[in-house]
Amino acid sequence: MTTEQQLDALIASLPKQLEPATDGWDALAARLAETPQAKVEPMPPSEQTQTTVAPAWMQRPAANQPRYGLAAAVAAGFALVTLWLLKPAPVSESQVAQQLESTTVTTQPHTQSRDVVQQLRLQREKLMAQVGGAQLKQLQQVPQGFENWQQQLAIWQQASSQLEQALQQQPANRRLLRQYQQLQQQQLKYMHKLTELSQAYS
Amino acid sequence: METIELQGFIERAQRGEQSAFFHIYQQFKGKVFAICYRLLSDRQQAEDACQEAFVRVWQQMPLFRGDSLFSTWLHTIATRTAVDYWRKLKMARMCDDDSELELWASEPPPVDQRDLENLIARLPEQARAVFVLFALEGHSHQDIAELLGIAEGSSKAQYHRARQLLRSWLDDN
Repeated sequence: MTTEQQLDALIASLPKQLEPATDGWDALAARLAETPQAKVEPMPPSEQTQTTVAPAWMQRPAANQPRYGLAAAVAAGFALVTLWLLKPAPVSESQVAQQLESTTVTTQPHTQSRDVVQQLRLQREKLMAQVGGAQLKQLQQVPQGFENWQQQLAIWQQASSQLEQALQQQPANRRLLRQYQQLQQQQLKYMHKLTELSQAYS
Repeated sequence: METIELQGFIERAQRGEQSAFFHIYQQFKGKVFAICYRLLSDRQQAEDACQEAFVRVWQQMPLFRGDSLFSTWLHTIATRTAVDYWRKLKMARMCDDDSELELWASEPPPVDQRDLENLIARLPEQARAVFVLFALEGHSHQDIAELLGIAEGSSKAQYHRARQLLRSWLDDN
């Protein structure tokens, strides 16, 4: 009878790498040539220097204090969900920007950082599900230049998910939080543009 | 610790240089293919998944900030891509004939398939996925539950089932 130890030894002896039958680079290179990389907006000057004082909600809290930055992001998530759910028609970019701006002053001071990241994830998923159901599924016609919109949204979703994982490890990292907010903003603007153009076409 | 040479390739690939990405591909394709093949147990599907994983890595290169090791970051993308393919494959096979699949997967493998690699490929799909992710890729049952969309308890049960089947098949041989 094979013992547990013998099985463990066999498992440990398995190679860490396996080689595919073909190299695959040529086919991959052809796809890469048609695949744009994600764009990262340059950091604003206020974040490029340590001497600039960040807004209070973005400052790193003391160990025994709540994480206001993330709490603000949670509030932004709530506001965005509400914004999209309550408006059947596409919202304008200025409305999105205004809403994001206004929500940064709303804080939930007793929220724990780990819970906050979990809430961020849940709200993003809820937001995307609701928007996808209410707005994108009603697309009459896909506008030119937006043919791969589902793939684009999938890329944003994956990037957001990775940032959430990173925030779990570094909940006070302002750069990560900023990137997370930018991703959400870009995604909403993209969806807004898509639905707006779709309505104009139909 | 990643080498200075790799860091150079990463920075250049982040600026869109395919030639630098080629070196990254060469360095990591074996590891990425391994996770894809072991999850999917189908060479063609694994090659497709491997290519897709590297396309996703390419797309997201500018988002890599060095907060974790590059290999860890890449491996996360590869695992998620492989799981996406695994889920699609599972759905497709379920649509074909679920009961037949389960029966096939439970039967002992042919006598000439003696090595563990082939036995893993014969495991039922969910048990195989859990086994690969836990025993070979080092994920926790909590992570696996999230990745596969199952309960943590199911992950543990499937892992136990996989080990039992492997031990039994090894004895048959």
